[in-house]
Amino acid sequence: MAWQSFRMMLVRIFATRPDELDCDTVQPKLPAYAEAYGSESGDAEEWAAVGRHLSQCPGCRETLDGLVTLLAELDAPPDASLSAAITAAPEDATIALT
Amino acid sequence: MTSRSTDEWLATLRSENPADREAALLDLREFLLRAAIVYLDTRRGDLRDWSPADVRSLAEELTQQSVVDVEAQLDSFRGEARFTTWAYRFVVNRAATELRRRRYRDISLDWLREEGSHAVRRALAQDEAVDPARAAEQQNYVELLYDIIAHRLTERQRLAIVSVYLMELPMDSVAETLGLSRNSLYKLLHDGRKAIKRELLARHLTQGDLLTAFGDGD
Repeated sequence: MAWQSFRMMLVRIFATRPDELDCDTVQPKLPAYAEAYGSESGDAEEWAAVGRHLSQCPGCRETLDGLVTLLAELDAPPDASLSAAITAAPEDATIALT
Repeated sequence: MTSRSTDEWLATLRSENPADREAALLDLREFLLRAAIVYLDTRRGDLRDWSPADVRSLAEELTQQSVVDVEAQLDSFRGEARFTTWAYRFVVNRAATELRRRRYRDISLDWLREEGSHAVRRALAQDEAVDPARAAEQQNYVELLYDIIAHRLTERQRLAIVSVYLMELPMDSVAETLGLSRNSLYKLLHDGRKAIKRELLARHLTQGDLLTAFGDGD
């Protein structure tokens, strides 16, 4: 793991540019980026700049991953156990945690 | 739970009719609660010891906070994404922050300094399996990188680079320990990366040189 982190850090160092977007600029763009994720839609130049930030910023990357996962899961057909978890009394909720 | 278009969400949440607004807030709460539960379900590894009742309680807490976030920041919504996707970001960030807080609650500046120093050594430790010629090349680069990280960065740049990139600690936890916002931590990381890159380029070293030397046996 340490070796892998070290190699990744080297890639990040050499990919460093003087004009990177910061987190405050990127965070509000992440919902639209998540919706466009994997498609050709959106402003290619802007998305490239957001993508460069994401490759340097584990924090914003985590937000994007969460949004992309959430959109995929919420677009999927409703999960019976999940619905039960939402509507049931807390002690009866059955969220798969194991 | 009523489905609404983005325009309908905005119109009802900004409505001057209290009944319309209340209904929209109730629906928003349902949408965000579902999102919180789904998100927490994807993070089940972090919640291994939690009972379903505790997870639901956390989901409700996150939902409550996220509804407040949405109301407070409604005027900043610019319509670049669907309203619900925009609102989900608050849930994801709130949930991720909360899970990190519970997992990394004991990070202090002294601990970062101490562990950070070991982390650099560990990360730069030589791979014993490589042949002697390659080992010597790696050793040269290791010493150079160690020297740059230890002596050419400010202490805060060094702590930021080592904690986030080598120790892989969450940015929010590191930012809190250093007394910074996440955005300021990002700027510190950026300055640190620029400084290291400048030092490496001044020695005519490229990414290819270093990655070849530290490649996976190629």
